[in-house]
Amino acid sequence: MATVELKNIGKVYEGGVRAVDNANITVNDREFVVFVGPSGCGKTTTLRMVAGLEDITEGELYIDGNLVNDVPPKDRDIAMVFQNYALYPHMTVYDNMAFGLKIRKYPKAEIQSRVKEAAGVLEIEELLDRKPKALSGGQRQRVALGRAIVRKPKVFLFDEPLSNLDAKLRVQMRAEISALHTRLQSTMIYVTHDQVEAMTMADKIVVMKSGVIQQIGTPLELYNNPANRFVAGFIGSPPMNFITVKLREEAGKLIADEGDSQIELLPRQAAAVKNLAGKDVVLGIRPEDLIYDDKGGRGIRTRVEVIEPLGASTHVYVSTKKHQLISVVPPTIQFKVGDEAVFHPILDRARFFDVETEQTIPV
Amino acid sequence: MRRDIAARAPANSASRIRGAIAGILGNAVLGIFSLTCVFPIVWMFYSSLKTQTQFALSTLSLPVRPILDNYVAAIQSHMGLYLLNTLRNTAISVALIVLLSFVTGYFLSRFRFRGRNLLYAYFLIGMLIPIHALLVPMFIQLKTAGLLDSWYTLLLPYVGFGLPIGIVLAESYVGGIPRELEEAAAIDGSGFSRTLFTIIMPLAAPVLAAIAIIQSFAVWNEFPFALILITSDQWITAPVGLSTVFRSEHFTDYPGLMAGIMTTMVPVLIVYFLFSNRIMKGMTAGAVKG
Repeated sequence: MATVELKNIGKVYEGGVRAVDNANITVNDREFVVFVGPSGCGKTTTLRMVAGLEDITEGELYIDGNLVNDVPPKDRDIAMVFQNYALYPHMTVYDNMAFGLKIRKYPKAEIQSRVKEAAGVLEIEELLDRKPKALSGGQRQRVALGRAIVRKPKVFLFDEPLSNLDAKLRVQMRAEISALHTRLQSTMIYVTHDQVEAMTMADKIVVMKSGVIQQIGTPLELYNNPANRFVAGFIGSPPMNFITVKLREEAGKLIADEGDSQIELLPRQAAAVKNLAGKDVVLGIRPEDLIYDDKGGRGIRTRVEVIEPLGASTHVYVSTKKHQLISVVPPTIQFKVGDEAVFHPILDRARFFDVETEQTIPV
Repeated sequence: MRRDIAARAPANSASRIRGAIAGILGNAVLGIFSLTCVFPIVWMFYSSLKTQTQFALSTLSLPVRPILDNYVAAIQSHMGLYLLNTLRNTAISVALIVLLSFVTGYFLSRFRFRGRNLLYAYFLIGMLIPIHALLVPMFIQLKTAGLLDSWYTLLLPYVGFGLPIGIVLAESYVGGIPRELEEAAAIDGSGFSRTLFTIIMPLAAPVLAAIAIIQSFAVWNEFPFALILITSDQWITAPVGLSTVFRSEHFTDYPGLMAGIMTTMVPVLIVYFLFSNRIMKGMTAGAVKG
């Protein structure tokens, strides 16, 4: 098992396009780290640099304490699962899984036992004689996992491995990969654009945007204490509501003025953002923290636009004159499109962001 | 409403009759065209079973008493040697064309380097130059280099002229093979050559088969270079042999010539019927990427 350390890693393509900028990440032994971010954020490029499939333009990469910048992929003792599986179409499942071991000249008996063992773990023993074209998407993904497992590498790399699967199978494979991590106790780096995958699987999440790491932390750290507006909006489903408010002092209290609605800040929040009185800030409120008030008190006055009943809960899309908001409410509350509805934010869990820098304002 | 339908009925039947006549005429034209394609081969076959006298009396009539003497004579003449020469030229040229097309096509497809587009255009232009335009320069070139009239003489132009289309087809096909396969192989520990020949080459088998088949026909039937560059009897190829063995200054043994042509056609026909599906695929290979 191994650690992976990225020190000031950068990737600049021909023509000066900077894909990754000054990435510093430490992946501890046996840790499951997920790189997450929107398309083009540099997460796959970073993973490919770890794999040795992309040259590293700047910085140093260490695997198990050894500098591997110039070490070819085959000598890094890694295994990678690709988005499109990358199974060799002309080989059987057995040969696909055994290919790496054959090249490394393992004894035939050892190869057989490793392939059988991996096939047993992944429940694909009956598929060993088939060619990839005779397999379903989920089975192919298992074979791709099997090909990685048999090598018993120091580090497993996953490049959006579940993207090509349907929603149900994705949930199932997600759980299986997590179980595999627990079973193998290996270091794993996993790339995805799906924040739900990141939240459910990761020990540690690295959020990236435009080649720059935005925040590194455990799923709940990122959820509860996002470093900036991007992380706050990216992590969590449905995403966080952002309300631009003007802060003003009124009778010794600090009021966040949304336009139609006024929200009185808590004393500790008021103390922290007092110096911003008279200026705009962005108030971040999670959908589950926007509580419907059936008595229609002095909260945020809205109009119901869209209702999405999910069974266990209902997503209600509402709007004020300036903002579109989402609230997660119990299924027992019935709305109709066009209804007037008042919501109260749970202020204790609200976050504040600077309008210009978009960084979190500590409160 | 009902009146409308009643009025339309005769018009419909008239158009049906017109359609049927057009269909019959169309099929008749195609049938006649097919006959004009097939008849020469049929005619050649039954003429090869005639004696020279029978052939001279009526060129189109069926043989009165079919004989195989012309085939025995053709095989016993130098045609056997000429066929062997053709077979050797075809086997070596096609093997070289397939191998070099694959490797060059792979590099052009996978690597972006300075001059790559120029090189690709160079190969494309190679497809446009007619062989006949290069007969004289090629003759002078090989004569100067002392490469004329040898067992390997014809291999050079055959490979040279076969490569452009092979490279263009291979380049296009390799472009559709996912790059991740090579990356997966690299991570599995496979070196460059091993990946090229054990992962990519088997996946490119359809296009390589197509190249092999197309070039087999081209080399097997090639005439101008074989006529100009070879003078020794021992290296003459079948197409050139056919034009000399059965002809003298004042006389042509037509039934013998037909038997000779039928003999040289047999390997080509076998290849065609065995691989006709692949040939069709090969004709359109590279037309659509992916």
